[in-house]
Amino acid sequence: MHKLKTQPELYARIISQIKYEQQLLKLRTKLILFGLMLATSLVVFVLAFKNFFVQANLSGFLLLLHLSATDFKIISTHLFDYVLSLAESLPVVSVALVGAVLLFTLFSSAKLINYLLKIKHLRIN
Amino acid sequence: MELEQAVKSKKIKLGAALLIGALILIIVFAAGVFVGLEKAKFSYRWGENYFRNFAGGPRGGPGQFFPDRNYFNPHGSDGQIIKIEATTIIIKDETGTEKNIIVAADTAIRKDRIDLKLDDLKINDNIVVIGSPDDKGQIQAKLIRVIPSPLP
Repeated sequence: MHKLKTQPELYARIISQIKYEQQLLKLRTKLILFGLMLATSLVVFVLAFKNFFVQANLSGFLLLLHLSATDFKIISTHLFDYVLSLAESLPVVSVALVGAVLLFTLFSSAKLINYLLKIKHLRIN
Repeated sequence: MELEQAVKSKKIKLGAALLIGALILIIVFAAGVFVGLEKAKFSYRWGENYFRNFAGGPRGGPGQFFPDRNYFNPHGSDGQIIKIEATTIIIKDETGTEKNIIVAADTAIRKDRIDLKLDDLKINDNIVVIGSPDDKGQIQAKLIRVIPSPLP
């Protein structure tokens, strides 16, 4: 009976392959998770931005902002009143919401890109 | 060298970032308080003036009359002209609130690229106003711009 000659590096290769598959699985799971988060945050961002637009219209913020284009010279002589009128009409809750969702979208997309690059790096190696 | 290393250390950077962040938050908070106080003061004066001039009833202050969702902007407004009396324009905004706009000799009134006079303004014109509040809850207008009517 011939003795089976095991290659010494076979064990290491098998373990390495298992680790590779495990890492790939983890990265894929995170990719799907952050992909879903990004998709959701994009939808929420569009809704939040629309809401901001509606609120800014209702409060007169957009009209007041438009004055800076049409009556710049007059506004520059009454800058303090103009800046205060903008600050008073700014729909702060909507702005905060848009800002928060935008940050979350950027965070999700950064994570997604990071994991995509990790998968690419893993496959190359 | 040790000082240089200490300055570049993560803890110092984190501490500095936290301090700057706290400073920005404090400035923003102070600005918010200032704007909020201005709106509250103007709304109170508006309420006092409204009761005195229109309602004729007992003065109960703004809490009894206004819905609590809004305070008025004292430095700017927009709305439709409902009345013109001498140098006072009364406008009604989208929430149905009436505001007195005082037109002075140096108030700029504009429509498109044309300068107008107070007599050129008509009932149902839509205007945007920039000004400053007085102690009667009125807006002393610095700029009035006539805008096209909004779509129904």
